[in-house]
Amino acid sequence: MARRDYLGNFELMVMLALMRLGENAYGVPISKEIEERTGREVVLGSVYATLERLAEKGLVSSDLGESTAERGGRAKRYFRVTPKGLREVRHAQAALKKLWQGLPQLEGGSV
Amino acid sequence: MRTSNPPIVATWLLERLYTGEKSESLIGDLVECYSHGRSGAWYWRQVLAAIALSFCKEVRGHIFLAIRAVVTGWLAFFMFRFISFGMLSRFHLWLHLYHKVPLLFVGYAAAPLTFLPWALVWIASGWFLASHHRPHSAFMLLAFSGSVLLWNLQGLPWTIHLLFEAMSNPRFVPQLAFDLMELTLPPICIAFGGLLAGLSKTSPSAQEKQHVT
Repeated sequence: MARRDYLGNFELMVMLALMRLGENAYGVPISKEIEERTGREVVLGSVYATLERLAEKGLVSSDLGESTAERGGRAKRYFRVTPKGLREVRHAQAALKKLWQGLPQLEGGSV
Repeated sequence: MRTSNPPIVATWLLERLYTGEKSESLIGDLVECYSHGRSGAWYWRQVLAAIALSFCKEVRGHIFLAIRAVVTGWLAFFMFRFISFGMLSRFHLWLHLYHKVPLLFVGYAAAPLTFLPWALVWIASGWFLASHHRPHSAFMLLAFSGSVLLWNLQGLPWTIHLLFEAMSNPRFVPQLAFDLMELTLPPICIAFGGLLAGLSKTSPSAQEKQHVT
């Protein structure tokens, strides 16, 4: 069986946030999306570190956008999931679904 | 929307010490969040975490370079300590013999005099390290500063003990200030020495990519 690097927990969160945000996926909304949906504070530096790692693996790509005064004249960097990235997310989803199936502890929602 | 600028020192540190590739976009994002109401403490926390994360990533990828930074930094430190304190003790002895200056500085009032030669030694070490590893001096300085901080952390339990003592008894405050100074002075001086040599922001990873392209 070929060795496969699975997406880490936070990597998967970032990928899913990118997919949800579509065209508007840059640092601020990505971290907000993860914060709102997981309820935990996100360090922007960790989002960027993860995005750089994902870009090295070819799972995301990025483009420079417009710079605005409220950003101190610095440009936004928009990220998007590549076809390879989408395949990886689908694979992770399938693997997690299989792992979640048939676990009595997770059924019913009590405790 | 807030119009005031975010903490300048924090941004300055991030510009120089963050070794990730997309630092401009990250700073822009942080400035945007700050302008939308995030606090200065939040900004500082984000900046320090971003620097620490990017540094850890670089260390994982360039462990031998990090070891070289630590070894070179400490060797430079011992060399400059030997030179300066050897010279200082002779000068001190000369002052004592010919001008009747007392041999020992005693008391907290003399603390700045005690710290000054140490500060110069740390500055010289930072300068030496940065000037001999120009392509990625920020990374080298961070690695060396980290090792010095780790080494100094051995005194942390005593400093914490002093902190609690100083809360109930003010006579421990000068000793606490002295200990805190001892803990924080080396990294600051190393960074200052690096600045004197001209900090290069290029990270080892970025340099490797430049070689490839």
